[in-house]
Amino acid sequence: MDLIADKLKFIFLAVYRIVVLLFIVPLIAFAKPLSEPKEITFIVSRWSDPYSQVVATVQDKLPAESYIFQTIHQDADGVIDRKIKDADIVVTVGASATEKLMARKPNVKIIAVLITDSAFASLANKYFGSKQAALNAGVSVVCLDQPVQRSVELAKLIIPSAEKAGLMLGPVSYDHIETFSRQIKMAGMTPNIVKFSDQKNPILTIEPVLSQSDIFIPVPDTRLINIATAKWILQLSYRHRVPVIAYSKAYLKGGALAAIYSSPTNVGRQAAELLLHNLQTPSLEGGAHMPAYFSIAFNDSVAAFFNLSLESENFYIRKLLAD
Amino acid sequence: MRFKRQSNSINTRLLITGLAPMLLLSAVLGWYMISSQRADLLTNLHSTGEIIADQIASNSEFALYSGNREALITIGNSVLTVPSVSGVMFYNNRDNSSLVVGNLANDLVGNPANFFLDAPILTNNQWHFYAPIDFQLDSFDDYDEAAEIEIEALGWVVIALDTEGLSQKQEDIIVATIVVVVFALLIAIWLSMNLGRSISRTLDGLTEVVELMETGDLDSLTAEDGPEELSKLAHGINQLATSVRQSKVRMQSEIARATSQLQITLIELEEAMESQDQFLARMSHELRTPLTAVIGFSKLLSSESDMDKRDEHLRVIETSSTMLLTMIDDILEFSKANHSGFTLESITFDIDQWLDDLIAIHRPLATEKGLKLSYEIASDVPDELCGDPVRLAQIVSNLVSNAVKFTDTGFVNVRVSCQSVIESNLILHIVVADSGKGIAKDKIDSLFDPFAQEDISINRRFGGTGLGLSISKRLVEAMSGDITVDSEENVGSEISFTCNLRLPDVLANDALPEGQLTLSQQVLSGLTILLAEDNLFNQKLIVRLLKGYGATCMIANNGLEAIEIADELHVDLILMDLHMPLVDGVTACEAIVQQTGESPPIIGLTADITEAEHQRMLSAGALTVQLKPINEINLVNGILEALSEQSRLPEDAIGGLLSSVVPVEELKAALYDNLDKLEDQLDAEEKSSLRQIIHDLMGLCGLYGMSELRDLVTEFKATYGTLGVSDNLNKVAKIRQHIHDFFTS
Repeated sequence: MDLIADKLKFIFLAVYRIVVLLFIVPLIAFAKPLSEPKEITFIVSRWSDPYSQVVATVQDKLPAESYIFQTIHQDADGVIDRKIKDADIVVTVGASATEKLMARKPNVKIIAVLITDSAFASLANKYFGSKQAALNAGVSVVCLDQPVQRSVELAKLIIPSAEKAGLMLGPVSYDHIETFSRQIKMAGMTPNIVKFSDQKNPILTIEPVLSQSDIFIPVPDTRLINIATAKWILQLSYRHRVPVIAYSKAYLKGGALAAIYSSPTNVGRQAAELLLHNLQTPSLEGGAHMPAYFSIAFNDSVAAFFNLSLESENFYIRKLLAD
Repeated sequence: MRFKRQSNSINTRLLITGLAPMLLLSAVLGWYMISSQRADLLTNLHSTGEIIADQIASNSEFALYSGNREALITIGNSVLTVPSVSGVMFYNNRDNSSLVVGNLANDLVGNPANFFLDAPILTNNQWHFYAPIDFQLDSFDDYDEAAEIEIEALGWVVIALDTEGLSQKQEDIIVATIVVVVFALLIAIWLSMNLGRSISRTLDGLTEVVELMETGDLDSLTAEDGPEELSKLAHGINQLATSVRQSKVRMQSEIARATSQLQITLIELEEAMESQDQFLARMSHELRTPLTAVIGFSKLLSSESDMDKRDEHLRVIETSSTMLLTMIDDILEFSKANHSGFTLESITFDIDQWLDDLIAIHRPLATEKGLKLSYEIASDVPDELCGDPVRLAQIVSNLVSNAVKFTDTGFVNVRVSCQSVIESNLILHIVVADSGKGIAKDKIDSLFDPFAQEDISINRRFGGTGLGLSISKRLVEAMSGDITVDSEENVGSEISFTCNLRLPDVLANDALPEGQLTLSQQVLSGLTILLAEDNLFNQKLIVRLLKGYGATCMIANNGLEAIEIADELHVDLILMDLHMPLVDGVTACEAIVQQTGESPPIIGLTADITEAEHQRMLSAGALTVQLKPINEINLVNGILEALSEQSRLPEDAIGGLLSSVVPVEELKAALYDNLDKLEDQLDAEEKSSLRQIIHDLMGLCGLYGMSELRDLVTEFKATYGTLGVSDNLNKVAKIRQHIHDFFTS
């Protein structure tokens, strides 16, 4: 009897397993996913390190199972045209890549990163009429330019004895002269501001102001202004022994004492956050975003030249964030 | 004249030869050094000027951009501290202003772009270099994607360098170069002179020695020093002088010897003439004496009536006549031997009986003188021999007769033994010993000369014609033997001789008619045959053979000698060996055939059986080629045929002479000598002469028909090159054993 019972039990189990297979497997195969992964397309100006780091940081910050990432070089026009149609959002990394996409005016959300405020404004004017029009068209931007206030505060942290803070403004940044003066004063220093236009001799223009300052902060402007002044500012800094707080690592290597800047990791991190926000927002409207994160670096040789004893970069970052 | 001679001397020529290229080389090198140094200086000056201009352009960028004239003057003054820099000019593109620090050519003040065309300008003893002062607009923005780097031309800088320093340096270089070149030239002159002097000194020494040699002074030697080649030349000349000196001495010695030989020959000739005169006188006397007796007693006989006296007269007449007849017979016998040789019989005789009969003839006289006359026959002598017993008896009888005649007391003994037996030929050795008065040493050599006796008194005392020994010697030679004398005065003498006889059974087996083949068949008589053969042993053998047949022989040791003899002397025929040193048989044949006049017929001799070798000889001019081992009959007939002589030896005749003339001991010695040489060469691993030794060995084997030995040597010849020393020595030992066995058997 036991033997017959065991055989019946075995037959029952086999039939049960066949029925389950016949019904469950088709259900799995033809069932729609509960939520489809978002397709994010990166268009990079170059394949070099900073661009790849930005892309890698974004991918690192987002859950891979929910997103499909594609990275395309700006010169791959055909691929760009094909892919942006399916993309949920496009991240342009670099000014050239941003221009390539803006020129297409695609019906997709765009986040432009690794681009200066002036470059973005210039491209927006060119392809959308104005910066605001571009934003309205769904283009968001994370600017490279750190707020001048952070540079001013860093300058005071590095040289607490500094009383006069020299500031060079160009045609673009001159509009914010009041804000900058106030921020300097708030930091406990006297503003010593010079405006430079491309028609002037930068040495003759900058030298009087710089030589009268305890610390000098060049404010990023158009590329032309930046190029025309940077070399002479650094030479004057050396000649008049006035330390410069720069806005880029390239400036720092050229002879500035310190630089407060946006690293690829900083940019990528903020871009990832913006992506999440944009993907969760049905609105097409974009926005201009100041850099939320920053990095600090020092030129040890210049610091030695000025006989300055500096803390670690993290120390100053924490100080700035605390303030 | 003196200068001309000097200019022709080796010393001067070497000096010129050494100096001319050196001068040219020095000039070229000096010019090259000066020009290259000057070029280097100018290049350095240009390089310095361009570097300074570039540096100043870089340094003055800020001052020029900021329009800071004081800073520019400071920079300019700092440059003026550099040697040779005499002035600096800064040119500003913005306001087209020029700033000159120091001295600068006035015509170059202004925008350098107007007068500089990429190259520095030399004016007013100043080199002017220029460089643009550019402002590079570097970007200090991170992630700046604009590719172009903008450059702004701010202005120019011009640097003036004085050429005064350059000129001074160039002068220094010229002076230094000239000093070096002159110094090198002086060293070259010194070396050339030394070299020339060392060579000419050696050559002078050589010339002096050669001049002395020309005057006949061969004792002078030159020093063998100087350069290696001249040292070798000096050594060669010294050796030449030594060689010439030795040759001269040797030649003088040869001439002296020849002269001496000539004198001896002259003396001998005079002696012979004297002997002949004496003989004639003696003959006259001897013939007169019995003849006078015969005439006198014949007259007495006619007038004598007493019968006893008549009988006495008749006995004297008979004795005198018999003596006269004997004398005439001897003279006729000698004359016959001289002109046509002896006719030898080939008769079987019993040696014991023959000798016993012969001794019996002389026994009465010996007994009368109280001498013991005996004979001994060795056990190895066969009982019966084949030869000419009458002629043999004539020899022995003559010797015994002389022995009995010249021995007063003691004994006369005859010993007969067998010297050798080869095949059917036997050499008999007979010694006649006595205890007589002996023969003076200086008379022994002339003992066998015709008409000669030791002393005239002998003739007086013992009578005789003095032809007996001479006839005996001719007979011995006809029997292919030798006769020798060993004597001591007042002690005794031993005269021994050999003669060739045959074993009778061979004659019987061959069933030859008696006398058909005899040693006396001198078919080559009167012919002069030149034998060209390098092997001494073969020379002896063939010459003996040919002489046996009556020919006169000349010997050439190689092809060269054969050519010379054939050119200078008359020969009726040449026997030419194929392989000879210096000039081989083929070449010699060709040369002899091409000589002027009628060349003698040539018969080639070779142990090589290949047709190609025979053809070579025939092509070279040989009439026929005879193979070694020599077939005696074929050779003799070949010679006769070549000379178109009618006489021939029967083709089925047995050539007994060849075997009879084989000197066994000499053959053994020659074979062993060649084997010794072979072993020495193999031991020393020196194979250069092996071929010649093997050739000699094969020649000996071939000549004497030692076929098995020849096969062994042929095998050795074929394999010695591939075998080691020990294997080759084993083969030689095997050959040696074979020879030993051959001769023992």
